[in-house]
Amino acid sequence: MRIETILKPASLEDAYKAIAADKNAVMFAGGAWIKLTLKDIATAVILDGLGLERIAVGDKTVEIGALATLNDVATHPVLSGLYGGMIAESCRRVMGINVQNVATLGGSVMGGYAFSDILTALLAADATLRFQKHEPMKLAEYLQRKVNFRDLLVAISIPLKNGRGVFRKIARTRLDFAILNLAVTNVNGLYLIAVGARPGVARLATLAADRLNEIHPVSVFDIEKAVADALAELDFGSNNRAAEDYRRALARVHLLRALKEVTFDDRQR
Amino acid sequence: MIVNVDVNGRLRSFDVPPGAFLLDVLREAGYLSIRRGCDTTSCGICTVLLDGKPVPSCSYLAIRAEGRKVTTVEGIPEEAAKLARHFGEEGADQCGYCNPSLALAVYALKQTRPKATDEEIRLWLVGNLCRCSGYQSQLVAIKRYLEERP
Ligand SMILES: Cc1cc2nc3c(=O)[nH]c(=O)nc-3n(C[C@H](O)[C@H](O)[C@H](O)COP(=O)(O)OP(=O)(O)OC[C@H]3O[C@@H](n4cnc5c(N)ncnc54)[C@H](O)[C@@H]3O)c2cc1C
Ligand code: FES
Ligand code: FES
Repeated sequence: MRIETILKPASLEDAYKAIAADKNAVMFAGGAWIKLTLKDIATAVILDGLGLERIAVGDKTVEIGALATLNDVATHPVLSGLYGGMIAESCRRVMGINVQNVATLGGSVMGGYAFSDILTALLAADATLRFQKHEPMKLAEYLQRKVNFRDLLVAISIPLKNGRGVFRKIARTRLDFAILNLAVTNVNGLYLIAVGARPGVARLATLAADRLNEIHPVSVFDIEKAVADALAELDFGSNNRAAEDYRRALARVHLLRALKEVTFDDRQR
Repeated sequence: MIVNVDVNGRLRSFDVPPGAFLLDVLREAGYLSIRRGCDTTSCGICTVLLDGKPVPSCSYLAIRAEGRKVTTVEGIPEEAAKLARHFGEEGADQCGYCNPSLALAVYALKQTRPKATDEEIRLWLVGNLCRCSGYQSQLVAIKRYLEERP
């Protein structure tokens, strides 16, 4: 792998301009994935020194700088507890500590990987993306529209809400990509259900969640119906990790468990 | 371009090509305990400590290490020797190729979580592959090392 030129911009605006002006320039965050691809790069724009590694906790949101590493997120005092530690757990399930110390949240979002565990958890946390040039955009919309603009992702914003959350990764080994992953949140009776590695990129099951959101209180039967709705709404497929039927079967069982977990107390489950 | 790095407590200046990775720069400078495995961020063999944290040096741009502290196994001789003794006693290595990276990762674990449980040790080291040992004997050796008084 060869990198011809390195740019170290002095400001966020300069970083944006560097990739906007040159289609052969790439943002270089943790570099973990870029190195895996072994592609030659004409210009790498490194993002250190711009304050992008900061995690700032406000009254209503927590803003995760795009250069915060997976380990920064997993060990952050607020994020490690938010939604039952759902986002932190998704970070901890990526490779080992050495990769978690370099791979960034920004690279995880902008890479848009179909196997991504992080995207699934961020979807269920109702994340919003903040860019240098473009208007803020919900992650769900960004992924749905398959937007492909060249911009600098500055931060990922997560609403600070008191709710329950669960993240699950089903993989053959601890190091492997997911066969399936899912994340579910329940904030005062409002649910978000995300399923990734189907093997397509993470998606929200919006119809299933919307129906569930209209029911108070939710029963086990409602949850079973929501799982059936989610399975009908989401597309599943086959690849070298698992067949479509197997993925559906896994999703049925794990969504049911996850929804029960965010709805009932231990005793009721 | 010039990159200034504290390697094992000694300030070094390296004249490197722009896209050089830390692994290549350190090996070129004679720190041969750092080894190349996959060269794609996947095996952990190239692990060094950057400001005390294990990172894969094969995908870490040298220029990003400017002003930071890098530790290789040459920088922790006493701790590496202690761990090596336990590895020997437990039959926890064969070819030894993974040992420097493993020693650094275990040393970092000891700094962060000196009383790590079996599960925590396993999780911490999940990205440090060893083609020979089967891991169980390593786990026993690492536990003995963590139990040792400083
Ligand atoms: C061996 C290996 C195994 C992995 N396994 C998993 C797994 O099981 N589950 C999982 O969820 N993830 C996995 N990952 C992915 C990992 O979690 C990160 O998502 C990935 O490494 C990208 O983060 P990075 O910081 O390394 O980004 P980089 O490699 O630096 O960049 C990735 C892409 O994002 C772009 N980019 C980065 N930051 C920005 C920004 N701020 N603005 C605009 N564009 C940007 C880059 O230009 C590039 O196109 C794995 C990675 C590796 C190397
Ligand atoms: S050589 Fe760096 S992770 Fe394998
Ligand atoms: S002892 Fe041979 S790779 Fe670990």
